[in-house]
Amino acid sequence: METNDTDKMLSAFFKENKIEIPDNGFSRKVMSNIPIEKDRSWIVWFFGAIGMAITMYFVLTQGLFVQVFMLFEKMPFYYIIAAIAVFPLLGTAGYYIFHDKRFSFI
Amino acid sequence: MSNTDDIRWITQLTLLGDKSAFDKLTCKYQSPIRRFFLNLTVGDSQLSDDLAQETFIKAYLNISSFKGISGFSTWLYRIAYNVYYDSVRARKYYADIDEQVIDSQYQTQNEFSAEKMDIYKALNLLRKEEQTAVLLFYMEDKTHKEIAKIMNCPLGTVKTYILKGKERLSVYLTKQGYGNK
Repeated sequence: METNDTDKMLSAFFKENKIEIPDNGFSRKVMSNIPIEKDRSWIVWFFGAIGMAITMYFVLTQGLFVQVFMLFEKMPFYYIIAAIAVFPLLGTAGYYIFHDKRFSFI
Repeated sequence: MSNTDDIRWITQLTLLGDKSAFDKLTCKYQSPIRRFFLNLTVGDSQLSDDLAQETFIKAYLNISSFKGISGFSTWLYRIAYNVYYDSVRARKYYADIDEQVIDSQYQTQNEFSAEKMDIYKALNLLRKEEQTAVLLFYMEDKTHKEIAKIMNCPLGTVKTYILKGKERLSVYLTKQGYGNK
């Protein structure tokens, strides 16, 4: 039998046997079996609030903003750029290293 | 419903954690995935539903690893293929049990069996890899490239599987009188 004829015959055969399976509650069953992830976003808010409290303490008692402003005023501009650039670079590297190992902080 | 819908639903799920978006994906793909398993398991509807469910749960848990390079459908079939072969490996322990007897029992139990005996008999003539490649090509309308991605093997190997499967099926179907229809 020619290849084209075989192809036609097989296409017709599989088309004839192609069924659409009704859902019949399958999707609901899948959704009900999806594991519930524990919400740990409170950790972010908790440590964020502690950080804010400490910062406010230093702002109110030690004049933190003034000190930081004076520090930036004296610091060479390229030092500031380098300091700012370090975080995204390290952050990105860390993300790829940990992401591949399926590691997550939260 | 197009691939754009898939991307939209995946974005809703990954960025907003919207589970209803995954429900829509499940509704859209449940029929082809269950049909794929039903044919691979030669009509075992209970097993195919269990495997399909495992596939969707794995897809949900690993949705963040979907890069969008291939379509969502191809990615989902890749998971389904892995789930199926994991199950085949796990069941090799029971290889001594006569599979034909079990298959015939299941075929009498499932609702699609009566008129589907021919396709199951035909698929039983093929090796597992040939079954998968032939089903994806003729039944699920996947291209050779997509099948290579799903089965994680070279394009040439996929073509060989399909060619060999085609040869065996054509001999069987011609004997059954399909060529004369």
